[in-house]
Amino acid sequence: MTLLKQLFSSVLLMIIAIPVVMADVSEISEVDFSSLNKTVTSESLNDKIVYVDFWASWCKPCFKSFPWMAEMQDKYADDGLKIIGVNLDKEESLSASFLEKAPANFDLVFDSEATLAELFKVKAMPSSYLFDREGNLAASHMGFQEKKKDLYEKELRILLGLE
Amino acid sequence: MKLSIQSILLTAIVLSLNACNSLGVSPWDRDLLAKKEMELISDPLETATDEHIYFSKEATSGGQSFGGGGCGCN
Repeated sequence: MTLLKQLFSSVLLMIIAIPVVMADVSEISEVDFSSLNKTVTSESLNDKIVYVDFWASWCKPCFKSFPWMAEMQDKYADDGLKIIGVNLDKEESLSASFLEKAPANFDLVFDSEATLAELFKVKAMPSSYLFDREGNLAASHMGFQEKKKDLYEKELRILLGLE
Repeated sequence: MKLSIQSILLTAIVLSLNACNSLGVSPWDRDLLAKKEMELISDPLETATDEHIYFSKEATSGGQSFGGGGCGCN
């Protein structure tokens, strides 16, 4: 094979490898929630502070985080906060008893194939990703700790422009 | 196109660029592993007691896992 052909095919291979290496989210516009939940469109997320939380029914810290997230959604909905809970259970029915004990007043997206989880390269359960009003990734957290609730709320308040 | 050893090697190197990204279990696949039945030690209290017995009674330095000692020397 000529040098030019070799060079061309290696560049092509490297282009293919890039999505494998660099899949990660820096803007909310890269994420397509509407294919999993029709009500979560990019219009509905426009000019909002979006809090994407990955959870599952078997994850205990998730159980602790739900009441806090419900409280935040209630408190800051008018200021423009939108929480999206992405469930990673293998079947939607597995999350039913969890949701009975920890009800959600925010949008839920059921991602049993883990397409969103792989897109975000989720490293821990739960994981949360905060996007600012322009849609850029502002913060991310691995895990949920009760003692850090005030810190999390402060972050939200700063992004909402309340502090 | 004839597959030379060079192009095969190049393909292998480039495709392995994801490095150790796919090692182990993905965080969202840990649901079965999180169950109580899947814990490595089935009875932590009993195991801890056994370890203590081995250490103090039979003078093995590290309980179940380490051989050595026997006279309290190390």
